[in-house]
Parts: sequence; structure tokens; C-alpha cells
Amino acid sequence: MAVCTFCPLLCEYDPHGLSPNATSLDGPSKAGSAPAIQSIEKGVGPLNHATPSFESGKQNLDRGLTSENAQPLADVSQCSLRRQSLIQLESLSRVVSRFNFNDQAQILKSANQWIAESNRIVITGRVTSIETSRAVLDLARRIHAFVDMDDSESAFHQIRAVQRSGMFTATLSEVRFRSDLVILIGNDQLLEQFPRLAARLSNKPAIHLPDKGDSNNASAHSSRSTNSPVSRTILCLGAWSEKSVNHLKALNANVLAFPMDLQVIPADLFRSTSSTDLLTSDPLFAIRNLIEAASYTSLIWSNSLLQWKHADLWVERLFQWIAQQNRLMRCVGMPLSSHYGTFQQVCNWTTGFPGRVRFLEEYETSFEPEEPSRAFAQADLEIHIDEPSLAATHRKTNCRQIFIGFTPQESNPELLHFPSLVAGYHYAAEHFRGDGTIVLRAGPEPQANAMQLSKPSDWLKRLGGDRP
Amino acid sequence: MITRLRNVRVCDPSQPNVPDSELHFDEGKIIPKPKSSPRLALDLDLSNRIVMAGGIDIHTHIGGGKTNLARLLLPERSPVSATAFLDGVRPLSSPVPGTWETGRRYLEMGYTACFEPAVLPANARQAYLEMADTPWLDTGGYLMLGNEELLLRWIADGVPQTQINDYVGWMLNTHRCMAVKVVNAGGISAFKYNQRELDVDESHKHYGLTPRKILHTLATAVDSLGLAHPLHVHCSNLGRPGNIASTLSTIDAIENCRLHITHAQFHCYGSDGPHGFSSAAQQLADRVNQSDRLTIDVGQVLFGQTVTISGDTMHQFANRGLARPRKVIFNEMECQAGCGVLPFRYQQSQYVHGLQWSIGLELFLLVEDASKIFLTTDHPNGAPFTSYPHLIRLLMDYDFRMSVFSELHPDVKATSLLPSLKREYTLERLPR
Repeated sequence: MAVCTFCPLLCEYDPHGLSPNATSLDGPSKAGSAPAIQSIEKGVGPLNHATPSFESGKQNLDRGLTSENAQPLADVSQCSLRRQSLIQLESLSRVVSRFNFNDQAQILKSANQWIAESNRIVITGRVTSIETSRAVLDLARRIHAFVDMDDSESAFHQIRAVQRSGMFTATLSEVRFRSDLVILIGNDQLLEQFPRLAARLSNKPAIHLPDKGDSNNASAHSSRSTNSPVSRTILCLGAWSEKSVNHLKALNANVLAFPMDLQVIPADLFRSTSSTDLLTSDPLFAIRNLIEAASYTSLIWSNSLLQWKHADLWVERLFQWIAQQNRLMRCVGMPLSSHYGTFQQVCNWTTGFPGRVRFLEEYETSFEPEEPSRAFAQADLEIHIDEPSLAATHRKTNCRQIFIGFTPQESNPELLHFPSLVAGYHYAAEHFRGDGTIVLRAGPEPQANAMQLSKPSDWLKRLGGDRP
Repeated sequence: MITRLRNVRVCDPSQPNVPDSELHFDEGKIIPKPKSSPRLALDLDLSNRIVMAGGIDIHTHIGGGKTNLARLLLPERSPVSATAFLDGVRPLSSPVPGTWETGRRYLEMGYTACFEPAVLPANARQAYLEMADTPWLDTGGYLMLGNEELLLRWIADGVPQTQINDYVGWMLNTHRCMAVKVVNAGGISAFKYNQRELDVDESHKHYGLTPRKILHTLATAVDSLGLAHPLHVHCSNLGRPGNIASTLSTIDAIENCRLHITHAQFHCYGSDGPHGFSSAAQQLADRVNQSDRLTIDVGQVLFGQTVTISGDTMHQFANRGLARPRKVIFNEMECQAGCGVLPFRYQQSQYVHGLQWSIGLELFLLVEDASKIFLTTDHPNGAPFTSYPHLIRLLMDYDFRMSVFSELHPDVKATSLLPSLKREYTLERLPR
């Protein structure tokens, strides 16, 4: 199975057949091929075939785990975002192939000269892989730069809310296998950002999962079996079109939609569960009945849809509602993050801060959680890394720019461009899933053209060497 | 090229009372003293200093999802710079620092190997990536089992023990872990089914299983596989008054298998005394002293701000009102387990916190064989790991211990065994 990285759901697919019967796994066995494992390198820990019957047992175990996680879904090639992305990357390959590779050494020398001359360096961009995130942070430490990613504001809606009052969350498999009420908050854009979210939540058992065909295991299909799909209702709150609702209905039996103003949904949820005078005709009355009947409610939203000032208050209020529900029943949130989530995690474990970090003395950092426009205004050099390379979305800059990415950006008279491979497409790389918990190794895509380019991390390691 | 250390006091538990001497190293290895005068790359006078084997922290939360959530939750950091010292101790910037700082601070204390005790299978890749970014330390992990839906279903369905053994072996191998840890057996799963309590002989309301059955099954698998480590167990009823009964039941549940009880201090509380909360350290220490298959690590509490991070969502949720600052994170993961992150401030004048401090030290001093007890604070749950030098002094210096004791709540002072425990550890005989 391979992993698709064009959206943070990181769906699995069959790279050979792209078969309509392709299955997808949600989690537990993912760490199997974990790279860069220190315990292996240092000879600590790992067992080699722990039991004599390991091989014979493994087959059963593989099937057992698969039956926990296999899910019915259409061929991943039907994913619109994936199709578009592949076409775009193919055409961009032709542009990049015109690059004059003989100039690389000279460009590198110029870039290091710029870094040496600069006093205020910012590192921006879109970094989707752990390897590049590590290289960005290492460079930032060496050249004392300020680091912030392009789409970090949506992530910081949640970060600010969590740092004030915490959160109660769950991961994709937990929601899919346990939740009997899923509340999707947002609008059609949620399904555009995560095209296969509906499939990942589907509870229709398109794949029959017999329990191992093991005659000694007759009781395995008991009522406890988590193979049995949960009887689930999907409740869409926000501005959902009929098309989206029908799309959800095609994959899930019970789908209800209530039009609501996105910005007031947390307040409406509080009203629905605390007001005693709701009319039976009020949609909040129906919502309350669904919530009260559920044993495990999950709320899903995308932080990048919260495009208004102080959206962190919205997130905080929603987490407060979730916390309140847990006094008597079970309720969780699953905010989906963008590709930025990977950088945020790596920055957090390395420095103790989840991004927007200024590197001071050796290993010392300061955290600037508010939108750091001042840092950008004062910068005299921007190093911009664009890993997914599919859309030129980064902000205009008035200073020198070193651009590391697959595609050339808008012309800037003072621009140095280092074309680089795309993580998860040209080469294998690790990414965080949108739920912020699971790391998957993805790529290379079978159809990716082999190109004589360096990885972004290779360029980043070669920068900053001349800085005093 | 040879390195020489002169006037060295070597602390070696296998050879106590070694006179001060010289040590020679070549290419990172200790070599016999050269017969002729060698050409030295480095020659250091270590008068008044100690040379000992690198420390090993067998239970410290330094990697994985919950550790990173704790970092996210606590951006409030000490303004202290990396080079500042307060009272001879350089404080951490945060109870859960980043990997760069973690590696550096462990190395400063002479620690060279650390083990993350709760690697969630689905999160193992992240845990190892994080630990790989922790410089200078050798690291490893214990795999957290005992709450996965698949395992619980199999045990409930009565699959053969050999199948469970295969499962445990496969999971360890796949997730590159060296031991198995159980956190509140079945309890994390039960909480997902809205069950708020689960004692050792209570049934999980969905699977009909008891923690006793889960623990026995996993301990049998661990011993059958011949793992170097026994089953590590975080017992039921974490932090509850009277939980010594659950802890002793857990020891009984394992029957003839080996067992390691983690952060035992949090699991040996009685329910006597003026506040219905008392020490049961003597009871647990007696069991450890009588058994040759039982070990513990302490999880010592020391006073100050920290953050508690645990897979035990059931009890972290029950304690959420105690969070200081008042914010908590809970996450339920991949039908395998979960975690709760809760900032906490241990106060010297507070009865329960003082009692916890006292119970940890009682355990250290009552367990006769130092090889059966491990020095931990369950970083960061009892205190950040940088408090180890302070803890070691408490163990080695009765007067110092009593000076801290004298500041505790009067009801702790009235009931604690500590004044009567005059044992003082030596560097050569410290708990492992």
C-alpha cells in the first residue's frame, strides 16, 4: 500500500492496480517501517522475530489488524484533488527541466553571501515533511532566523485556544469506529480540502471482513466485534449544499443537515444542550435529541475554514462545549489541520514552541504567537521553502528572496531559485496526518518522473555556512 | 591518542571503595594504564569529582504525542537563559522542554540512556522521530498495550495464549520497542465506553473483561517471549486514596510472572488518617522485599510546577479540576489508548502533596535491596528530571531530608515514617 500526500488525510492506495477494491488503513500498524529509528542505530531494543511461531502467527495478526482498519472506499484515483495534483506536477516538471543546472554552484555561493550580509532573516513557506522541517529548524538555529509558515494563522487559531483552556480530541480511527454521531461543522470547502473525508467516515461495509476463516475462532464475530459497523448519524452544521449532502448520503446511511451561521455554531450548541424552552420545531431541539441519544459524539472541522478575526475564541468555545458534554457522556473534537501541521509538530518537539519561533543564541528561542507581521516588515532576506509546489500562494516580499521549491514563483529582481524535489511525490518522506497524531511515510509516486534535483533539505543543509 | 583523567574517584557498585586513581581512554574505551608515558591528547585533573557509569533513566516521558501535547499546552516558559543558575541549579525552561534542551540537560547530569515508557503503537513513529532528535542520549521505548480494541476482543473471545504471545511479539517487533507497558489495564478503553471506574476485579462494561485477566494474559506473554524486562504496570486507581488494595491485587493477579510496578508512589495510598489519605509505603515495600520477581520505580514527587502526562485518561479526567493552570488536554487515539495532559503544582504546605513526597522517600528507604527499586520522578509527572541531584541528596543526607520534612504540613509530620528511617544511601549504592 502507498500513501497519497495531496491532502492531510493521507489515504492509502494500491500503487500497482489502483483497484476499485483498494482498501485503506487508519493507523495501528503504521509504524512498521519507521525510518531513522535511533534504537536500531544504537542497538537498543528491537526484537528480531520475537517468538519461534512468529511467522505463522504474523499472517493471522496481519489479517486481524487489517480487519480492524480496512474500510470500504472507492478507487483513490477517483479523488479529484489527487487527479488535479498529479496533472499539475507533470506539467510543472516540463518547466523545471529548463533550469540550467550548471549555475547551481554559483547560485549557492550568492545565497550564502546574502545570508552573511543579512541582519533580519525570515524563513517562510509550506513545509509538509518531517525531514524538511528538521532542516528548516537547523538552518534557522544556525543563522538566527525567525520562522513562520505561510498558512500558520489557521493553526494558531487552535494553538491559542488550547494554550488558554485545553482541548478534548480524538483521531480518525477513533471517530470512525466508535462514533455514533459525527457532527461536520463547516461548508462544502471541507469536502474540497479533504475530498475523501466522507469515504474515510463511511460505515458501509463494502468489503466483507470474515474473521480470519479460522475454524477455531468461531466466536470471533461476536457482538463485541469492531468489524461490525457502528450505526451512525452524520449531522452537517453550517452552509452545506445539496450536492455535498448527497455525496455524504451516498456513503453513509443517516445524514442530516441544518443550515447555520458558522460563526455562531458553538453558541448554538450551548443553547441546544442547555435551554429548557426550545420549541419542538426549532432545529436546535432536533440537534439536542441527537446528541442526547448518542453514546460517543465527534465534532469535525477544519481550522483553515475559520477565516475571521479572533477565530481562536470560536475554537475555545467549541472545546468548552465538548468538555462540558464529557461530564456525563462521551464527546470529542477532531480539528483537521493543513499540511502545516507537520512543521508545527516538529518545531514543537525540537524547540518547545509550535512555530512562530525566533532563534536567538545557540538553541535559545523566543515564541511570538501573534501574527508576526512586524518580523516580515523588518526582514532583509526571506528564505521561502515550497514543498507541495502546487500553487503560488506565498505573500509578496519586498526584500531579497531565496526560493527553494519545485516551481518558479513570481519574478522578483532579487530572487535566487533552487529547484527541488517534492516530498512524498518524488521521494519518500514522513508527514503528519490531519488529526495531528499519526505519522505516515509516503512516496515516491509511481508515476513521478525521476529528475536530477536535490531535496529541499539538501539545499537547506548547504545554506548558512558562511554566516559569521 | 590517549586521554588521561587524574585523581579520579571512581564510583563502581561492583567495586566499592576504589582508591583515587587514574583512568586512561583510547578511542572512547577505558584501557589499562600504559606502561610507558603515553602521548596524551587530553590530561584532566578531576580532584573532588566523580567518575561513574552513565546514568540510565528507565521511566521518563521524553517522546511521543502526549509529550508534544504537553509542550503545546505550556508555552509559559522560564525567562531564565541557558547559562543562568539559581541556587546552584539551572532551572529548565519548561517542565517539558524541547528535545534539544532535554538531551543537553540529561547529559549535564551524567545520564546517557533514557527510555520512553509509553509508546503508543499508532504513535510509535513519532516517538522515535522525537527521540532521534534528542541529542547525546541513547533511547528506547516500551510499547503500551492492554487497551487496544483488538487485544481486548481476542482476550474476551478466549483466543489461545499462543495467539496473544504472537501478537505481543509482532507488535514489539513492528513498533521497535523493547518491553511492554500496561496503563490502567482495560480502563482507558472502558472510559471510551463512558465507564468512569474500573478496579482490578471489576468488569469492562463492553468486553466483560477484568483488568486481572488482561494483566495475567500479558504478563504470561511477556515471560513466554523471554523479554529482558518484566511487564511494566501502571496499576488501576491512579492517585486514589486507598489504592494500595488495587496495587496488591495487581501483584497477586500476575501470579508467578515477573512484574515491574511503575511510579509506585502514586499507587500506594491508604485511606486512613485525618484526611482519609495516608501512606501505605510499608505494605508495598514489604511485598517488594519478600518477592524476587517484583521491582518498582518510584515516581518521586518534588515541589514546584510541573505537568502530568499519562495514558490513563480515566483518572486524568477525574483529576481535571486539580489542573494548575486550569487547562487540560485529552486525546483518544486509534482504538488503542489515549492520553491526558494536566499541569500541576506540588506545594510543600499542602497535606496531600507533602504526603506524596514523604511516601516516595519512604519507599526508597524501606526497600532493602537497592537493585529492586529505580530512581525516577516519572518525568515530568512527579517533577522534571532535572531535580534528580536534589532527590539524590535527599536520599544520601538524613539531615537535609529532615530539613525539608520540617516544612511539611503538620499532619504529614505527625504520621510519616520518615523521621525513623535513618538510612542514607551512598553513591555506590544508590537505587539504580
